Amino acid sequence: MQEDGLRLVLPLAAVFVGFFVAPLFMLLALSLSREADMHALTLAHYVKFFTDPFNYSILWATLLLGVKATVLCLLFGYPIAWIASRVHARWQTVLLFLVILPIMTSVVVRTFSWIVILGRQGVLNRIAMGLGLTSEPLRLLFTETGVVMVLAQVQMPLMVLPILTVMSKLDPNLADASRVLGAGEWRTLWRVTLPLSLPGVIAGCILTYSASVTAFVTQTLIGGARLVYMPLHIYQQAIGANNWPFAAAISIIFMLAVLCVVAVLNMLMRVTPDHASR
Amino acid sequence: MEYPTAKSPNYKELLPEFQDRWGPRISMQIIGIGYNPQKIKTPPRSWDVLWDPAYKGRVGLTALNSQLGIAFLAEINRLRGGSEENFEPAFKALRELLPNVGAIGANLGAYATLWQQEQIDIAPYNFNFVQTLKGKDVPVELSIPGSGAVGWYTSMHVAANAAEPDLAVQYIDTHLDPAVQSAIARPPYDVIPTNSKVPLEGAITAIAKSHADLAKIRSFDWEKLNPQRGALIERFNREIKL
Repeated sequence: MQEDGLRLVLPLAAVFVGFFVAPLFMLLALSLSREADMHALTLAHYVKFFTDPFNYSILWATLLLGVKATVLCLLFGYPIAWIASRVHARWQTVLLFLVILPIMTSVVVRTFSWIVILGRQGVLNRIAMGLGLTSEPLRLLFTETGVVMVLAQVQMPLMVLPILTVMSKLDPNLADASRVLGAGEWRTLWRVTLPLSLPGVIAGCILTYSASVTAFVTQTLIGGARLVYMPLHIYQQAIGANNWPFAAAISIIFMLAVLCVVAVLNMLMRVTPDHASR
Repeated sequence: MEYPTAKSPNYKELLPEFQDRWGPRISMQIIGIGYNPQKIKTPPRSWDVLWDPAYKGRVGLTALNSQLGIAFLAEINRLRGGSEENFEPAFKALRELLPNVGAIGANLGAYATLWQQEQIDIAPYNFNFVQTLKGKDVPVELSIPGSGAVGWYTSMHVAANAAEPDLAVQYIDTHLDPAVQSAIARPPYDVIPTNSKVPLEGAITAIAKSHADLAKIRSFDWEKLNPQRGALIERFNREIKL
């Protein structure tokens, strides 16, 4: 039985090793080379990254951007998932479709439409100025606020779907029991539904965080060239300055940093007691 | 490999400035000051107009990844007294420009969007992109500053050890053919022709009336500039970072 299992998993493992693990090792080798031809080995690129405040300020800004985008996404995504889990099945399909619809369009298209919405002549500014909320067009494009807003919307499906999956598997009797025992809706939500849905929340946060920090298209289109985050930094070093080994070093450092954050979130998921099974 | 001029009948129709032993120059690009004619009534006649405080927050720039960015920086460097060895005047000018800058596009595609969305009113731009945007009814015009037009050439070469060198030469020669050059000179391609038999028509006549005029347009010393690109890009990114 064990042997059969091993043989079944072998093709996928081979693909994984060949197309994911091997290139990753090549990237590591490139980052340790002095030049792109990979003749001499050196740690100089890593040293260069950490001795220059410019570089790790970019790393820090990127990690922080991910946190902001994830929190905003959670604030909007959790209620959507909660509503979707409680409505009639027909409405649930409609709501689910609306949530998944963004994924079906290219992220470039979605980001460009945000440029139209947030621009000086955009929908948001026209409404704000029409309502008299502001006399000058709001400056949302090319600011970090704009980037966080757009990231939160673009990555919304990644947050809503895991939470929705966990919520729809919750035993509805638990909520009923809570109500029978006298707890109001808010109390039920806070003390029963929220702790039970935590694994879904953490899974959603992991996905949204990883997607937000690496979202090259959204960060550069909405942020412009003045808001430099890690993806743009890597791109400029690789394609603009042709410094492939340094770009590889930045990529490895970035990957490890994001993995650390994801590992912390993952640990949180393991630590939360598995209420649903009791 | 050296361009075999004997095998290329259209080569001799190029002016000497467009000929080169390694390959002909099939087109050129010119940069100037792009501006929105609906917002700016008088065409800007000098690069210094970008620094005018009246345009605070309305000036655009493009990242140095693109040729346009490097050319703009090199031209400002030259006008402010610098040279290919010394870019300090350019970066000093850039620091002074920053309060005016509304947005910096990360690449030329994002840059075009800035014009379309009217995020910027005045910025360095090149001939081709202005023509393309005008074709899409975006309000933008190109003005050549009094200091003169600057540009660079696009050339084609045959790689050494090419598998089919004769076919490659034929391909390049086709680009020099008058019929091809006049076809690609028309919208929507707007490629500036270098074959002297092809008359200059349309928007390019505002910049040059004849090929002799085109040949006089100042270019840059790319052999000195190119090795510095990486360092320039890094320096630029540090200076502009918010």
